[in-house]
Amino acid sequence: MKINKNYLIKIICIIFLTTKLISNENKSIAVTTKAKGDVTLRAWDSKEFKDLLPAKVLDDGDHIATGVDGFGALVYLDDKSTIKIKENTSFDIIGNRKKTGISKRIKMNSGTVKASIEEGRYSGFIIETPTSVATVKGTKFWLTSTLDGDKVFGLEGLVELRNIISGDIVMVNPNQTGASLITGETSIETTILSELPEEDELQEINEFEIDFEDSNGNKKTIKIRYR
Amino acid sequence: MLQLKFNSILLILILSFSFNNIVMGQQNIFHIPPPAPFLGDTAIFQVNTINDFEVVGAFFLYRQYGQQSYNQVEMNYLGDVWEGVILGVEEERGIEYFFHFINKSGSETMLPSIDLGENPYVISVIPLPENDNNKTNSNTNNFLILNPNKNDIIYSNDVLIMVSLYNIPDIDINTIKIHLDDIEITKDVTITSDIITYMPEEVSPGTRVLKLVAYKNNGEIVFHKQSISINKYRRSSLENNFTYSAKGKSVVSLDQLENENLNIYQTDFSLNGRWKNLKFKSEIKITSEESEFKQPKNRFSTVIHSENIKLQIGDFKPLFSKYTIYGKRIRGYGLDLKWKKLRFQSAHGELEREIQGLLTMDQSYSISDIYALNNGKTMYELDRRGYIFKNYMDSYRLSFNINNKFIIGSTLMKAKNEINSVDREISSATFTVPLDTSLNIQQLDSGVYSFMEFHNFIEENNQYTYDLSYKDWGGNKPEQNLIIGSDFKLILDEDKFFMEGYWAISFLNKNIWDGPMTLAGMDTLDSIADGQIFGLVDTSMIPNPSTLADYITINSNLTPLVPIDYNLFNSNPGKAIMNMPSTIYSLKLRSLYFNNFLELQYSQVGPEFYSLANPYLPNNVREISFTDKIWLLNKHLLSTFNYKYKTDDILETNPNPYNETNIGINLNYISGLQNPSILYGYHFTNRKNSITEIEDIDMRVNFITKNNLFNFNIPFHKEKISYWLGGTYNSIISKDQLSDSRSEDFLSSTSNIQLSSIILGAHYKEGLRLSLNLSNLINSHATLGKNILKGLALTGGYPIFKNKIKFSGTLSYLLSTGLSDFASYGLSITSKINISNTFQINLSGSIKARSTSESTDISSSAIRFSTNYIF
Repeated sequence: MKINKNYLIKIICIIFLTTKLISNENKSIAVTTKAKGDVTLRAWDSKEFKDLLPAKVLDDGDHIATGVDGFGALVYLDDKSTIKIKENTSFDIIGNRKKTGISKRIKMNSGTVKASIEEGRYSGFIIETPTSVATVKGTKFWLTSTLDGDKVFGLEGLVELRNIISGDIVMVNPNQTGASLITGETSIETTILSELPEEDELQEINEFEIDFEDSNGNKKTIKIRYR
Repeated sequence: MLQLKFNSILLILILSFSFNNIVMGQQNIFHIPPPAPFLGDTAIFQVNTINDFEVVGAFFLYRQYGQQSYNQVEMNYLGDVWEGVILGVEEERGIEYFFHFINKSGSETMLPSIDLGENPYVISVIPLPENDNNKTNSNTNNFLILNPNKNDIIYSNDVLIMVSLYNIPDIDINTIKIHLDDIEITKDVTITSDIITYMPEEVSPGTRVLKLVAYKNNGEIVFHKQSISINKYRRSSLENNFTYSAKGKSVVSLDQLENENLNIYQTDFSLNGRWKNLKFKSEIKITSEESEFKQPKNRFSTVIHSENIKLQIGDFKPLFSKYTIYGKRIRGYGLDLKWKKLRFQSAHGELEREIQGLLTMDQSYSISDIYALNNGKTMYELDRRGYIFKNYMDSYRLSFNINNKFIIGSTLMKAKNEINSVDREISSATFTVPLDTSLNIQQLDSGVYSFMEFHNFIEENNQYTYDLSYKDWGGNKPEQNLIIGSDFKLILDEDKFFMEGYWAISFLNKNIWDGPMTLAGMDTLDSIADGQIFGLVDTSMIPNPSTLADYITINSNLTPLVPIDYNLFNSNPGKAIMNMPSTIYSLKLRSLYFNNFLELQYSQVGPEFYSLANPYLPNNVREISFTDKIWLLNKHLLSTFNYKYKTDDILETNPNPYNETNIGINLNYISGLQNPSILYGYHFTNRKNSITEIEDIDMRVNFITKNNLFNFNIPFHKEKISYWLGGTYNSIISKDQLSDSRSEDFLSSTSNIQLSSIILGAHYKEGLRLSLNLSNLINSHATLGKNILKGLALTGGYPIFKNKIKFSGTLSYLLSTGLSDFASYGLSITSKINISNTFQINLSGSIKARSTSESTDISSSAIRFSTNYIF
């Protein structure tokens, strides 16, 4: 049987290349479920920002940024922990794949995120900002980071908020707001509802319909509009 | 002489009918039915061929038990094995199937039956357990649905399903099967080692059930089921911009069969894109198998659609109605428009493209006669053959849909062979010019001439002349087909009650070369110019046939010329209408209450009903069927009872109708996922005709076939190893009930087929997989004798570099003794290399040797290289 030598050479080259490439560890840790408005991604191995789309697999070290009308959401592959990202937010998503799950870290420059971290895993979750470090195990909270410092709004579970400058630590419970300022101060107060960030996706008004039909065949439709 | 010829035909019919498991004419084909697959499994059907079996194309035809039409799958040739695949078995009641081979000579062969679809193979399907909460509710070691969440509002045209595989590191992603409402969607899903992503263009509103099934490397099954509620969609604000995704696959295959090299290169590429209100999907397949002498192997398709409009261009498969076109590929364009409750669909394109014919000797031309003309010249009559006309179809469907509960529609389909698509002259086609020694005239030197050589020689030599007609060639005749029909569906009580019915009539003209007749010509069909066609229809009452030629050519080759039996209509109009030979109709009722599935169907396909767009629809059959399926023992035991009565007693003129009774019982016991399962199936068939007297030939039929199937799967799980043991025993006993009263020289069809197979497997936690498959097929035939096939296959697989590379190999042995003595040895090795989540390389090689009493030779060898990539 005659086998074209060129093909054999190509196949051998590809196999050689393959064995070289497979030494790269799998870095995938999360995936985007929503990306609306101005949301961009800079891959860990790139300097270029590209539009972020739903269903994009995120690798360890990827950077996400939202603009004035941007909104996004990502979910971790191991336990479905979710990060919702509001407008004007930027952060690096960092994670280490382990047998027990992904150890998760968000390195945030500024902005607002809502974290819903699943309980029962040993991998842990940390949000770092220029001012603070928030450590959680199974909880739900908002975190807002500005030039003046950070605020954590507890919704469920317990969040440990540590000020990097002073080393002070506050524990934030549900319905409490923990503050960590660039002056090194920390505080804990009952949450003022009007200060609580909202999950409004201002760039989109959605609408759906439910059809009803009575026994006489008369039909009515309810239209539900929501943001 | 006539008697001898008839006996020969009868003998061939009988042999083909009963013995095609072992020998088909001069060609050897072997098919061992595969083990009963699980619902959702990929089922592989292989046909082994011997070296002298010269097949150039093969199709695998299958349908779920009780369906009328067959689904057609093009089979792949893998070096003396043809393989057809069902990606995800969808029907628990079993699968009926047969094979259709196109031989090098242009002839066609069916396995197992020459009567199209009348006696297909049947295999049972093992259902999945209905509930197994222990396995489905935990995120650990199971699928994790990342999106959507339970209370998410999901729009019909914005569905995004994402499933994480992170917690199943040892999953074999090649075994993943995904169903949405029992429709397999695996091929539309992007699967990487970490995540499954499904972004359909649209899913109908309602509650949908997502099912995921896969095997782990250690043989365990992972299964997950989740309901997803989908809402009708309307959006009032601006949305994001253009998005796209793409994936591709390239395959290089180098095969050597006997002394012939067969190198195949194939590239598949698909691109999906979407804007705010518009989506498109393009697919391209380019293969080196594309040839002007075959139907197209390349594929090009683009689908563009918005909420209410869908445009398809290139290769696509219209699904209009079961009586016109339902899944056959065409190349052209199609439109689908929805406006409120109305829906209009149309499709236009080639069912077959034109093929001029092979250039090799006597394939496209033949000398049909040689004689002397009055002027002393020698005349050569030349005939054209071996061609296929372009077959162009137009179909239109209008339907009315009330909330997906009541749907009524009508379909018109017309298909016409384009006469001018085939060239009369092919310069380089060669043919044999014989020397007729019985003629005492001057003749050309005998030998092989190309058409151009022949033409030039005769033009230059005044002693000879030739005649090649412009029509009525000896090859295929140009046909035209028209079908008009209506159908309805009634779906009530959340799909628990279902009723479906349709009626259609077809017109087929088997030779349109002469065009339509005139009204005067129709009047004189019975040689009487009385202004009536056969004294039945007044010619002044019908339109001029030439005005209908776009739809159907009316001439003496039209079937039916008169669609109804006029005499019967006068005496019994109801019967005349119901038994119109060119009609098809069906009524099906289905209910699902109290865990009990019940289905009743009455259908009839007249002996003269033809659809050129559905050539595998068996005609001349009336069927009454009944199916009852019930889950018992806390849904661990699924019992199914089938009854079907078939007959061709449709026309009053049929002097010898047959009737066939089929009874089937299936019992499936499944204690749970990863637990033992047992299947027992019994099928009884009794086919008889009404002849009781023996005339010159014994044409009596009273034949009983009993098919007993027993299948078991027993898994054992230990800490680091999983073992399993599976077995199948299949006994098919066919007996002629009239054998005692047959004459000694009657070729009895009585046969006894015993198939037994056993599989032993082991999966180690670190990924090593081993299995040993032993099979034994004994076919004892009362007339031909006995043939035994013994098979052995040892398969192993091992992943390295954290599953990034998987090696697998199979060592196989097949020994045939009896009617055909040979042994076949095979070795195949495959490696799959996952370079990244989006790039995979596959490399495989195989070699087969065949040993007979005379010699041992390498019968085939192959190297195959392929890549998968996602953008």
